[in-house]
Parts: sequence; structure tokens; C-alpha cells
Amino acid sequence: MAVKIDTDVCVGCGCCSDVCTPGALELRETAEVNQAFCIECKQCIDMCPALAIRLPAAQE
Amino acid sequence: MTYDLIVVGAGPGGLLAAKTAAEQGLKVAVIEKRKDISKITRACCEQFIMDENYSGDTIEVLSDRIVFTKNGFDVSYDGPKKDIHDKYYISPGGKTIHFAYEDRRPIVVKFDKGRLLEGLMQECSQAGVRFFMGTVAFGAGDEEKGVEIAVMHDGHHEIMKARKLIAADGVNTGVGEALDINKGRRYFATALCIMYYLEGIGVYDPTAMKTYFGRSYKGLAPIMIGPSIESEEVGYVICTGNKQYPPPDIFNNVTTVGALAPEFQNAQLVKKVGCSIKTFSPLAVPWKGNTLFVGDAAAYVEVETQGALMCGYRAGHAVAEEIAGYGGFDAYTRWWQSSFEFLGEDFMRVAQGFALVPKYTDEELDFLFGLIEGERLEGTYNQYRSPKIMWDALFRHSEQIQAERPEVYEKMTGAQASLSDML
Ligand SMILES: Cc1cc2nc3c(=O)[nH]c(=O)nc-3n(C[C@H](O)[C@H](O)[C@H](O)COP(=O)(O)OP(=O)(O)OC[C@H]3O[C@@H](n4cnc5c(N)ncnc54)[C@H](O)[C@@H]3O)c2cc1C
Ligand code: SF4
Ligand code: SF4
Repeated sequence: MAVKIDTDVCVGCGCCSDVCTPGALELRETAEVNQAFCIECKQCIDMCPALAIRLPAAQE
Repeated sequence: MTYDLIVVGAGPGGLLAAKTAAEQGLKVAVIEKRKDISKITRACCEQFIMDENYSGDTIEVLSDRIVFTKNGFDVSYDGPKKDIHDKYYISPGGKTIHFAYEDRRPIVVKFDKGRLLEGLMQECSQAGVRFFMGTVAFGAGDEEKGVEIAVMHDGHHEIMKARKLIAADGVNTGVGEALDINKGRRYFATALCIMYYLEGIGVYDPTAMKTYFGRSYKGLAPIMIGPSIESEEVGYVICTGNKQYPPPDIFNNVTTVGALAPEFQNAQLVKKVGCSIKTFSPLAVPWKGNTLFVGDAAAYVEVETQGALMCGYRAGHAVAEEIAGYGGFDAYTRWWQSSFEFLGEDFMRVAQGFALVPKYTDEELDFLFGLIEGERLEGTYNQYRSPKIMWDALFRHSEQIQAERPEVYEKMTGAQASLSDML
């Protein structure tokens, strides 16, 4: 599993990837998660000014 | 392939560092996570600050370039510009404090940052710099013989190598984190910020920067409304909060229930940009091993675009000198320490001492701002000088405040007392 990004609210600022130590986040029009690398450390969630990042509901 | 220099970050600092180093004959690569740097998605007001001797330099904005008169270089820019002469602080009831220069010279000049960066990127390419766009640096190692950077591009991980590294990756420096540079820094907080660009804001004035104070906005910082460079009709609203008070909630509050809500009745959202800012005390020595930390990456909050350009120019030379064995990193450090206000002895304490406004009720702010309404206070962009100028002006009315509102006076002198305690 991995975090999910709500592409409707993401403003594409890229700040989430600043704290992603395993290198799972890339920036296209919006941020995108590469599931293979996400370790669900949740660091990116605290960095998002738009509240666009969530862990899938079952794990919150 | 081993480069002489890898620069992480194609912001103003990284680009000018890459260009300068390449012009000194170095083999340079730039790693940038964005695909298109001409599209600004990270919040920035895009203003050159015209204060004299700001961060150790006085800049001149000419038709085709920006001249750094003290550092002795210039940067090409022939994009749109807009002079802003007035800055206002506004209380919840509309009492207004006015900042401007007596001779009406601009406080700031707005510019198109995307265009500035694009131009710099072209000059870099002409100087032989290689770009790796859409590439995120997520790990870094620094040993005596050189540096290794782990990068992610299109879902693939790779390692790149260089003799020297410039971390120009902005205020949340991931490279700094990977190289453990933040260990000795004091961490304050993480601010979250969204800039909403709207058409049709009632109080919008395309020629002025306005800052709205008051509790009803529920922001962690006052609400700022100012002009965009794109259009005369579009203004921005900056909402700054944190995890508990996130910007979307503040915006919702400002536009629907706060004192400004009626001004947004006919406003249409045009675009949003944002950022988060991990706030650390500045790096007094901005290098470690083979790595130089440039621009916001080493700063307390920000060096601004012009500060980043100065850092980049100096850093490009510093790396060339370091490789040639002339102690370029030490020379850069001396320049860095003597140029930026936040490295001054008492700056951190003063900066926090002036963040006092949340103490006052909306009605008290109306009373205080009303005392100096109609005066002209000295124009400056400086975020730390402006509050000081305002306080000095208010204290010229001490007798009246003491007589009419002793409880407010007590708060003010309490505030001043705690400020001088801190000094
Ligand atoms: C709300 C707000 C308003 C502002 N207003 C103004 C203003 O009016 N005038 C002004 O001059 N300045 C303003 N600033 C400050 C200004 O934006 C910065 O000080 C300036 O851009 C710093 O330049 P830099 O080159 O150091 O870093 P940045 O401009 O932050 O550039 C860093 C670059 O590195 C890239 N990057 C980061 N991490 C990685 C990574 N791991 N891998 C690859 N690439 C990476 C980023 O995408 C970015 O392009 C404002 C800032 C904010 C937040
Ligand atoms: S949860 Fe951690 S690993 Fe996953 S994307 Fe966010 S920062 Fe990266
Ligand atoms: S921090 Fe949030 S808004 Fe910014 S790019 Fe990441 S998901 Fe999008």
C-alpha cells in the first residue's frame, strides 16, 4: 500500500517530495506516488499545505 | 560520468550557481524535480525588493537586466515589470497604516519569476550546463573523493556522482537532511501556505500590497492581499497556517465569515500555488565536506529571489576556487555571514519579539491603527523593519494611549518589556 494524493486539490507545489526519503514522490502536473517505494512513513502528509495526501481509509 | 559540480535545484540560486561555475570551465549538471520551471507552482510573490543595502546589496531594475551594484554582476531579464509604491496594514474595522517612500520610489518591483528562471536556464545551457529535469534527488552521500546523489526519474532510481555538490534545493532542503546538516540548527515550526489568485476581490488594489490583521481571520499570520504580474484584475490572497489551522480552512473563513467576507462575494478563483516551510535557524557555516548550501537551503525562512541570485553568483565562483585549492567555501562563508540580516547577533530574538499582534482584540487593533491613520510611515519591504517602524510610531502616542486605554498600554509595554528582556 501507499499514500494517496487527491489530484483535484493538489496545487503541485512539490513540498511533499522534499521529505520523502525513499524517493517515492515525483512531480508531474500534480505530485504522484510510486507505490513500489512508499514506506507509509506519513512525513509527506504533514508537509502538504492543501491537505491533498491521505493514507487509504482502512489504515488511518 | 563524474561531474565537477552537481547542483540540486533550478531555482534562482541553483541556476546562477550553475551558470557561473560553467563559465569558470567546470563540467556542471543540474537536477530539478520540476519538468517546466517556467510554471511557478510554489508560492512566491515575485517582487524585487528595492530597499537600499537589502541583504548587503542595492539592486537596480533596468529595462533588460537587474544590476547588483555591490556584488558587481547582473542578470538578464526583459519580462514584464510593475512598480508598487504603497503598502498598507489594515485593522479589522478598516483603520489603515500607510507605508511609502517620501519620494514615491517603488518599495518593490514585481516580475515574472517563471520568465526569469527560463532565461537563466537558457544561459546555463549555452554555457554547457546539463539539465536533468523531472528528476528528484532523494539521497546524498559525501566522502573525501566526492559526492553521490540518489535520484528518481520516471519511477527509476539512479546514482549520480560529482566532485562538488551545491544544495540549492530550497528551504526544506532534503539534501541537507540526507547529509545531516540540520542537526545543529534550531527547528521552530512548519508553516503551511497557499496563495489563492482571484479575479474580482472587492478590496483589491493593483498598485498596493495590503496586510489584514485581526483574530477573525484565524490565520497564524495576517492575511495578505496583493497584485499579480499576470493581469490588472487578478490579485492574490495569502493564507498562512499550520497542521491545526490549514490554509484551506483559513481561506474558507476569510472569504465566508471573517471581516473581509463581503469583499469576496463576486470573486472567482483563477489558480492556487502553495508551499510548506520548515523553519530552522540559519546555517552560520553553510558548507560541509564537498557540499555548499546555497540560498533558502541555508537560510532562516528565505533569502528572497535577489538574495538567492547573489548566493548563486558567489557559490559558482566559490566552487571553482575550492576545486582550484583557494578555499572558496571559506570565502563564501565570510560573504554569507556579512550579508544576511538573519545572521546578525540579535536578529532571531528581535524577529520573534515583534510577532506580537495576536495579543490584541479586533477592537484594540482598530483603536491603535486609528492613532496613526493618515500618517506616512517610511516605506520598506523588510518584514522585520516594518513592525518596528509601526511600533515606534504608536509609541509616539503613548500619552494618549495611557490616558484613554490604560489596559492597551499595559499590553504594549508588557510586550516591549518582554522584547527588551529577550534582548
Ligand atoms: C509566500 C511566499 C512569498 C514570497 N515572496 C517573495 C517575493 O515577493 N520576492 C522574492 O524575491 N522572494 C519571495 N519569496 C521567497 C523566494 O521564493 C525564495 O527565497 C527563493 O525562491 C529562494 O531561491 P532558492 O534558489 O534558494 O530556492 P527555491 O526557489 O526554493 O528553489 C529550489 C529548487 O529546487 C528544486 N528542488 C527542491 N528539492 C529538490 C530535490 N530533492 N530534487 C530536485 N529538485 C529539488 C525545487 O523544485 C526548486 O526549483 C517568497 C516565498 C514565499 C513562500
Ligand atoms: S508516506 Fe513516506 S514514503 Fe510514502 S510518499 Fe509519503 S513521504 Fe514518501
Ligand atoms: S505537498 Fe500537497 S499540494 Fe504540494 S505537490 Fe505534494 S500533494 Fe500536491
